[in-house]
Amino acid sequence: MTTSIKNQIRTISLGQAKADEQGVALVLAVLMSIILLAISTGLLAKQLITRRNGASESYKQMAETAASNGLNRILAKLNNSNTDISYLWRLQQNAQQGMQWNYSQEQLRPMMEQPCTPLLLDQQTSLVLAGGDLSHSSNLRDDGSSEAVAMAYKLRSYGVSSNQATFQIEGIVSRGSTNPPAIASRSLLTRMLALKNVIPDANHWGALAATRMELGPSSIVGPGRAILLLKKADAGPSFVPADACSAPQLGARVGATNIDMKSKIWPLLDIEFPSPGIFDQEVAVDQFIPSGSASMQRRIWNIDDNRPANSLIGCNAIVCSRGELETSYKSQDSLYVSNGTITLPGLSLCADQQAKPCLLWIEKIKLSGVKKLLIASNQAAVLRMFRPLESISVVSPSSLCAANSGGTSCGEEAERLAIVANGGDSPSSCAAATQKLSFNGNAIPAALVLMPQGTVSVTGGASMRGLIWAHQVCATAGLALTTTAPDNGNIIDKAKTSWRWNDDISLGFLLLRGCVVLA
Amino acid sequence: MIKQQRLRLQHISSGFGLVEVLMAALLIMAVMTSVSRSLILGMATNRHMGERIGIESEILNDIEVIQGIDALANKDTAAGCGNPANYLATQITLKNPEQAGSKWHRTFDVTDPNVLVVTYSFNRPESPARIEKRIAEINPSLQAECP
Repeated sequence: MTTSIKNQIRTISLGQAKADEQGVALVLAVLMSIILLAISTGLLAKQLITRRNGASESYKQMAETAASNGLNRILAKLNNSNTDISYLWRLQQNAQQGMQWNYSQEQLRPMMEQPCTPLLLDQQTSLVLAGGDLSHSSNLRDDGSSEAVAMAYKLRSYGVSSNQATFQIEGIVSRGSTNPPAIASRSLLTRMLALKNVIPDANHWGALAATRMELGPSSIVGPGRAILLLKKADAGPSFVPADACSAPQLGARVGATNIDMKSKIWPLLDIEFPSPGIFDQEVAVDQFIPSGSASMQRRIWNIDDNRPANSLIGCNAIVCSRGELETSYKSQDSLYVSNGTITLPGLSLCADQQAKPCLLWIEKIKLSGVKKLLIASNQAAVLRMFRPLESISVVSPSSLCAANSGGTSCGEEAERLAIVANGGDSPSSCAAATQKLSFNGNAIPAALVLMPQGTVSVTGGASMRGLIWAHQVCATAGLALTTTAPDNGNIIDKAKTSWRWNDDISLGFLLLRGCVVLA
Repeated sequence: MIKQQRLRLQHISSGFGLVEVLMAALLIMAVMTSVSRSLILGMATNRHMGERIGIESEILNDIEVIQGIDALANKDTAAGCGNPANYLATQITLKNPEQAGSKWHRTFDVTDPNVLVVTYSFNRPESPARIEKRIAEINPSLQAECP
């Protein structure tokens, strides 16, 4: 009985254990393995994604570098003065406004700012501007694959507006040598640049500049060019013929007969004169308090060494002046006229600001060969014409010049005397009456002249040291314009230094430069 | 008594068989091996990624420092207009020399006087025997100031 019970119990207990638990460990192990495999698969996937993202980020950085490198290559070409193609800065190169860099000479000349610029864009340079490889024949990423990694750039568009240029350059990273290669990454770089004009040296500055010239035998003695300012709409098409920029053709435009002068003529289209304000840098204005007035007024000068007895201005003296709000003139002869010389001393002009150049407002200066007018000051002087129809006329042996304070003879430094006018009616004929500066002989020995709407007229063979920038230059009688300074320097450098002209002031053969605008 | 005997026998004979346990252990071992390998691989990848990011960041930083030096040198026309690229390379060497112990190496190419080619080389973190390069071309801003 006991044995039977024992066997029964064993049978029951063993049978129950096997039925409930047999294989559970294996099942648990499989379940755990599945969980671990799922985790490891997740980890692997994450690693793969991380790796791919890492590679992608690397390629992206390389593509951005490629775009930047491309821009630098293009800049190096456009800013290279040895093979000057800087005229391209002013042309568009995009689908909307035209691919003007590829235009023919006949298409380009009329639309160029400087229509006589040599067109030096060759095939090799064109290719560099359009795009190219940047890998320098090497595999940038040696990762064991037979497919080399390379980078390149492509100019997508270029546009220019006023003095701002905008580039769009695509940087490309590729793998393999198939054609086209597999693209690993791209990057589009948009970069704006500021454009500025540069005149290489004094030889390329405009010593003489006008929108209309009658030069006859006139010449420039020393460095500098004769700049002819024209309107693109009117004159552009006239530069299409191949010989339009030859010296004889350019000489014919300005009536020049001097061979050397013909070779110095340089046309500019749609370029304006500098503002007369370039002589206003830190000047003092000649002013005084008239009797009966409580406030300062600018002094207006009217000088005539051959004034008729019943002058219309009510002042029969040689030197007359008034306050700008006054209507009657007062004689100043007793102060300023002595023998054959009129001397305006610096101590009485701009009396309160002796350390600055002095600006005098001129209604009229007419010297008919009787008197010499000296502006005797240790500072420079600016003679600014008052109203549009006023004029300065000096007939040799009279002269108008700057002298040192207390001096009795004319100085030779052109930068010491500026004759400026900003009125005038921009005449189209030398016969027209307008704001005019006329002289002959050596009547104005040295001066800087700026009259954007006025006329400079030479009434007889004349010579002068300095610069003449005027709407119209009438010099059929012959003007020898000297541009070397007494110390063998050049007038342009002297003027820039004396009057603190900044780089924006440029009139001459222009090179354009593009500079990255730093944010 | 029978009940007590049954409970005692149940306690003695509960658990897994030897074969079963061995199979489960083998399975777990195999899985753990593969998991640990992928873990090690993952850690290595992370480390390489970190190194790569570090190297690339240093190179990008160096390029920016060079651009700063370039911007500051753009008025040195008297000294630099003869060969702007060479002048810039000299300035970089003076002001931003290559750091000793850095993981990348830098070389200059001034064949074109208007383009300074800076080539950075470094050993790939993933396979140190292999070389990877970054090339930066810089047009010295000084060139725009030269006559």
